[in-house]
Amino acid sequence: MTKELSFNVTRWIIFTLIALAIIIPVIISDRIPLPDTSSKVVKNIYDKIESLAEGSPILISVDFDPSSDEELRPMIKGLLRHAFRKNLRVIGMTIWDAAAGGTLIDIFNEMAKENNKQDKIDYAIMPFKPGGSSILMLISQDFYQGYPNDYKNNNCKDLTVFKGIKSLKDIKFAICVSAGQAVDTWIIYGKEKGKMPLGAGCTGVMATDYYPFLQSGQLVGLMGGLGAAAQYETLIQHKDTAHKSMKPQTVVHAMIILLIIVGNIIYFLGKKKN
Amino acid sequence: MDRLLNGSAFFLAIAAGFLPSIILWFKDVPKDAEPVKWLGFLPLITGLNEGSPLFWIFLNAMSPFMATMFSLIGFFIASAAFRAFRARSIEATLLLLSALIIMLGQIPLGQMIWQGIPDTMVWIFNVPTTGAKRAILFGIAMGTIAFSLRIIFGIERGYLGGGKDAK
Repeated sequence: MTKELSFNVTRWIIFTLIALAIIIPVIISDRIPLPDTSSKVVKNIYDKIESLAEGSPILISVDFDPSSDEELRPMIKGLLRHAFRKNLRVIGMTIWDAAAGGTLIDIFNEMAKENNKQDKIDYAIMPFKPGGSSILMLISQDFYQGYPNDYKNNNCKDLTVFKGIKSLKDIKFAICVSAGQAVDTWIIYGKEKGKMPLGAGCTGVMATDYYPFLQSGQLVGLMGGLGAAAQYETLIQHKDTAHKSMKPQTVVHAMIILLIIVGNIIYFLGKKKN
Repeated sequence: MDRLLNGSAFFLAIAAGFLPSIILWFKDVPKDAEPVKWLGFLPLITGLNEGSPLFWIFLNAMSPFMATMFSLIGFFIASAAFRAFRARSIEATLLLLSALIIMLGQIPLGQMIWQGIPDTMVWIFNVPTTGAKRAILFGIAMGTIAFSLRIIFGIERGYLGGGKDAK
């Protein structure tokens, strides 16, 4: 009984500490400094977009649902801001069903409004099609077989944004931002068939999975987690949600490290006593 | 002809999957949640187009609900890390140190403490993790080939459901 009580008390103390570690940095966000640096893998994506000529078509695959929205939305926002600033043509699509309705359309419309870009001319959003890998194989041969119409049912071939695009091979840069297996699907079926340069964005815990693909050159660059999104915001000189969210994340990480150290001290003291 | 095939496939899918699920769902919903079950029909009426009521629900209800559920993991990870992450052996200590370096490397604090922490994190990702990952994938591939050969040559017959191997 005492052991159970102690377990519950410790658990609630930890929960309270974590809650405070999130709430306080959110309130005093402006007083916490963050260094303006970026890692090589994030900068590679920035450099790739920076190297593209005005009007070049790029493709962004938004493959996550609201559960990873806080971590991955800042990446898409940063990429779109950068692309729109460079006057690139952007095609948005998804192979993740839960991203199809709100997430994809919402982010693109928000960024287009902010950057005064027009649907059908500067960007286009593709509807969700089930199949994942099959869709990528199809668009790597003929884009209009996979997507004859955009999400508003306009004929893709008639849209200005698709000028000169026949298949994935004509896309100058594609990036998949995903919270699941979509990056793997893009590497296997998109990159290998389309031969276009491919970048990836993923949650922090998934980043480890994609380092072998960076070494092999199958990925140009990688954005892993909110920290990478904040680095991208630094590179495009537009500090937004990723920077704000990094502050509570920094404090929570420090809190967890502290808890691990305290837990180990208690463990070793108990061991010595026994 | 294509339309006829598509239509038939659609009705087959409805009959095979959708209707039984709906019947089961109606049976399982508790009586005090009666009004909620009708919400499931909303997409059929409104669709998920931009500006539709369901689009609004997706942005203002579904998104915060899913984000909240996912965020709760953070609290349990902290509690579990405090209780279970112990340096009990050399292997556990190595894992613990790697985890600490990666956690620090992911946040600006790591860089503030020592410039080398983010570089060490990248080294952990690039060398030991990638090496181990490749070894595991290679092992899986070799195992799959070996097992396939056993099946092709009839050494492995357990999958047929009979014989000595099946016992």
